[in-house]
Amino acid sequence: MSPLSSDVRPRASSAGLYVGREQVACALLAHDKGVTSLLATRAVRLESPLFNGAPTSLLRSALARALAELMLPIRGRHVPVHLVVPDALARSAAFELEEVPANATALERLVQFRLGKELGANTGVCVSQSLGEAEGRKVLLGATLDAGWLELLRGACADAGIVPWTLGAAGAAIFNSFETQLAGKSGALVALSPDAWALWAWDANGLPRPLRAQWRGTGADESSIAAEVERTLIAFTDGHESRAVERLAVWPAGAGEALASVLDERTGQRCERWSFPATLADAAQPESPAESVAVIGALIP
Amino acid sequence: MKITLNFVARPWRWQVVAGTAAALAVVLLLASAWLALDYSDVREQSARAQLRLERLSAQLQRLPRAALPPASERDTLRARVGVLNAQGAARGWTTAQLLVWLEEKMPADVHLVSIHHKAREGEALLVSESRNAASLTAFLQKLEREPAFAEVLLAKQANRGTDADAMRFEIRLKLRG
Repeated sequence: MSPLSSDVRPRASSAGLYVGREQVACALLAHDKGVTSLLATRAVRLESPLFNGAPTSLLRSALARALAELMLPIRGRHVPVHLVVPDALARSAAFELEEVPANATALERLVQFRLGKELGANTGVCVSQSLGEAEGRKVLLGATLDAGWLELLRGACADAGIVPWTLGAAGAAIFNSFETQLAGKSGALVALSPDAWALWAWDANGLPRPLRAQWRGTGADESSIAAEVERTLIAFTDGHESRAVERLAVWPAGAGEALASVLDERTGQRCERWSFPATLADAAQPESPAESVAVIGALIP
Repeated sequence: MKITLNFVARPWRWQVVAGTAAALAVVLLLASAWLALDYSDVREQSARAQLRLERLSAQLQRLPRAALPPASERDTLRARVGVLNAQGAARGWTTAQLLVWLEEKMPADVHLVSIHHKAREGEALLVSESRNAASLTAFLQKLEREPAFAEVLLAKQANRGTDADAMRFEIRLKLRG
């Protein structure tokens, strides 16, 4: 894939940025008359790894420099920028409730409490979304991101002259990209990014549920991920009689092939390999998985 | 269902704002052009009106000036007009109207001897004579049926001369104002 250059400046309509632990990737898309095309992608390595320990000003300035370098071709242009982070950083969970509080403060407290209980850790900044009803109860989706790291991301963007339109987990962005193809059959998606993996399930109505998100280990970790995916899916389907997983998909197709093969062996069925949604079906696969995640980020409306 | 969780506030849609501002600018530009055209039209009308005003002023200058009477004469005239207005403000019928009515409605054997009409008070005193009481009664009934009279009062009645039936009577009338 071509590196970012100034010739993409006038055509770029949206940008996706993936901020991983060791690298930052950018993708520029053009939307013209209903046709989306991938203009360019690029990834740069960070001087110091992020999301490990406490955020510091040095990390912030290093990230800001990387972001400024990536966004140089479209600097000063009004292009929507969508920031995507690993699922293990922006952790999420779905809660089944009898009633969702109407009061915003009560809702925030509830989400904070339930996220702390579900994820077993101190929560940071929390956001939530009502998903409607499933299994006779109301489903609330909550997500949390460490306040310090969120501040570092916002500060680095500000230092680089970027105003992000959205900031969310990679898994959610990947799920959204294929959302129109999901209704009618329940399933599960294993979303792989270079730094983390996430498991999302959906029911026949397309209602999503985050099931698992973990940082990836060093080296080949596909077997351990596959085992964890299997365990989690069995626990999920055992949770309620109406739950099922009729489809299993792995994203991205190329970089996730090793995991897809292991899953094929474990389940005895060939799982689906997803690359890009139909709007970008003809686009060439970027060189690195981080760039692929950035492409998915740029597709956020 | 799409996941819309977002950890940052979405910035304003500047394209929409800029588009709206551009559309507004175009509308204002068109309005300005229309106003400019309208202004030239108004200027022409103003010039025509100015010419007409000048012409009328010239005509006015040429008209002979009639001198007003002195102030004392005007005061006298004003006082006379006031008196006439006061007289004109009579209540009910005028004396002439009252006489016309009597001429039409008074029975043949009833004779009007005198009439005293206080127009400003809306009152009238009739002195009449009749040959008998029946004629008086008929006359009184006609007076009472007339909507222009608010009140009809037989103030006095007496026999007249040697004729036992002949009568003289006074009737007070109050006219509706």
